[in-house]
Amino acid sequence: MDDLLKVTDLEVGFKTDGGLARVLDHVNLRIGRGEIVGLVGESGCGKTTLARSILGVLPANSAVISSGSIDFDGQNLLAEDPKDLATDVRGRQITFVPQDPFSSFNPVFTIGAQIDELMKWKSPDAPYGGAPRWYPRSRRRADRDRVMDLLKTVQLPDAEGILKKFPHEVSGGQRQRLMIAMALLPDPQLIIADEPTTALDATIQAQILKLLKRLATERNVSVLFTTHDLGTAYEICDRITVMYAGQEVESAPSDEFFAAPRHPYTTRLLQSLPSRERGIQGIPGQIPGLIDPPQGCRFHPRCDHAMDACRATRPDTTEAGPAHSLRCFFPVAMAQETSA
Amino acid sequence: MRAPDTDLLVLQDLRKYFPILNAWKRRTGWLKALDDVSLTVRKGEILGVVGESGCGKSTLGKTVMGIHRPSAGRIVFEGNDITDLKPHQSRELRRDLQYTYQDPGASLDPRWKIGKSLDEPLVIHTDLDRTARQQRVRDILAAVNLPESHLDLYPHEISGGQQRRVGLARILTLQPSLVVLDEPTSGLDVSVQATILNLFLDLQKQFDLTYVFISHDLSVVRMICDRVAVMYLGKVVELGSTDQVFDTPRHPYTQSLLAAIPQIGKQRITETFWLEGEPPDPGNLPSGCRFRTRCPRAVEACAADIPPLVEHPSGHADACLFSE
Repeated sequence: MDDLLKVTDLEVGFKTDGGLARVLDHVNLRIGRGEIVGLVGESGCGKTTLARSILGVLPANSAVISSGSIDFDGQNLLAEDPKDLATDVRGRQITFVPQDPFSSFNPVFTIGAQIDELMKWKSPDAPYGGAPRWYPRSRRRADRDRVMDLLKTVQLPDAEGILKKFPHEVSGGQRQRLMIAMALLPDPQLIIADEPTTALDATIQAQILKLLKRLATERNVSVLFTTHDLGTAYEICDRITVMYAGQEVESAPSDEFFAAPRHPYTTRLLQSLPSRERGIQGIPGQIPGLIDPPQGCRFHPRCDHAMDACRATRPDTTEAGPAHSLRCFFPVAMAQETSA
Repeated sequence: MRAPDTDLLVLQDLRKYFPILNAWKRRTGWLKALDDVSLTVRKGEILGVVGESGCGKSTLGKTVMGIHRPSAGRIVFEGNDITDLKPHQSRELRRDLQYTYQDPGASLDPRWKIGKSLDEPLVIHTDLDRTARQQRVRDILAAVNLPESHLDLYPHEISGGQQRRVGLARILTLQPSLVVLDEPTSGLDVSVQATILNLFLDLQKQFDLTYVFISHDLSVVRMICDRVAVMYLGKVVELGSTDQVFDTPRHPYTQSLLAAIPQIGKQRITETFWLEGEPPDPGNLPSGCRFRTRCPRAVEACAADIPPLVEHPSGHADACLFSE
């Protein structure tokens, strides 16, 4: 398949007082063109760090990228000059929808002024290769039409009026609609949405998910959708990648993923969703610390199927089927076959 | 009617209005966080209170606890009217009526070890000596499945799920009869959430507890609650057993709320969800039914009067003129 983004063997650590926290351990991730990929995992599993590595906004004083590559549309983002990334890639080809739309707006400027600022630098017509010295009137006019169009597309009531408002004057759902509009305005190839609906109510979340899915499909934009909620991932994702303690453990097309999960962690995660038929089943044990993670497979202390091999060596990512990859020596379905 | 002794807590026409003040501290209106809420909590049950943010569900819990003083209405707990208790009178009550905060980390003193935090309620409310208190603390810590070594840790040294266990242990040391759980699973990962929910159910059996379970997470409420009250902008719009509310929702708001939960393996809500718009400003409510501005079935009659909560013979109640 034609991949827009390919992360290979990415290893990222953070310097802490207690030593190097190995937050990403040889992570692989692929996003096809126009594909919505869900990056699912519990808190502390490294999904936000992975999203930030792709954007190139890891904290420079503490993060250490020790190996791996991030290939985006034919260029290795880790090898590029950070200055070029800032002007030409980040915010133009890759945009971002944050978890908390309120803290991402500047409270002392109107929404219109902030969108204007964005368009000056990152509009599709803005010149590449450095900061524009001025904002020509013709471009400004075209950009304004573009903004109005998009605000209507994201179903904001009173699009003209909302540009004159301050961020605190609009509701949480509307702020998130604005964020999605702003992420789409530069006409990106990839949107990274970091838990975009966590802060919203159920009915608003359903509306936002519906909107995001429709727009991504219509405009053929790829989306990396990080979430801790398997339900929302089911709603909008074409493919789902699960992370556990800094490693991606399973990646499969959405339907296959929910019907036939193969990694022991994935199956346990799906079972811990509340359900009337099954009762409530948690996963015993705790997420390991990342400064001194378990040897071998990072899930082995909590895994029912753990063998000596799991404790000794780290399983590599292997293909378990078309578009289905896995990081486990003894995947679930296979374990059943051998016991039967 | 049920025998009154099975009703542990009765709320009658409870109101809590907060003044809306302008920049000069002049009142410009009222925010009706609770408006004529009547509920009963039966002994031994888990009553779920669900709704979106700003619907008044936390205000309900805090008003019951006496953290907010109600603007009108009555709160009857174990047959005694506790609406207007003086602070020193209500101290007695605290032993039986307990509340867990949404954020367990913030409700533990960061400079106190867990052991001291667990000891404090016993010092205040009981006459036990030091050894008896320590025994009680150890028992309760075992009940919430925490190792004894945790007594010497500080709150920041333990995880969010463990902090929640400590918060729960802290209120259980006094052996209350009613516990108000305010969003007890928000901010937890699903695998941790599952173990915490199981713990709630175990403790309920072990200590003979009654819970008021305030949550916005409908799938959790469906799992553990016996009865459910659905709130929208300060009003209870639907009340019934969990099966009634989830299987045959009557109020259009409940129906939309249920339609918004993603269900793995079922049809996707991104294809089916129908509700448009956002809740109105709670300081400036529409006349009549508060849901009518978003309701697909709204007609003129909805704007005239506030529809009352009508109980059907099955015990299932809802506040809609056109409920089916």
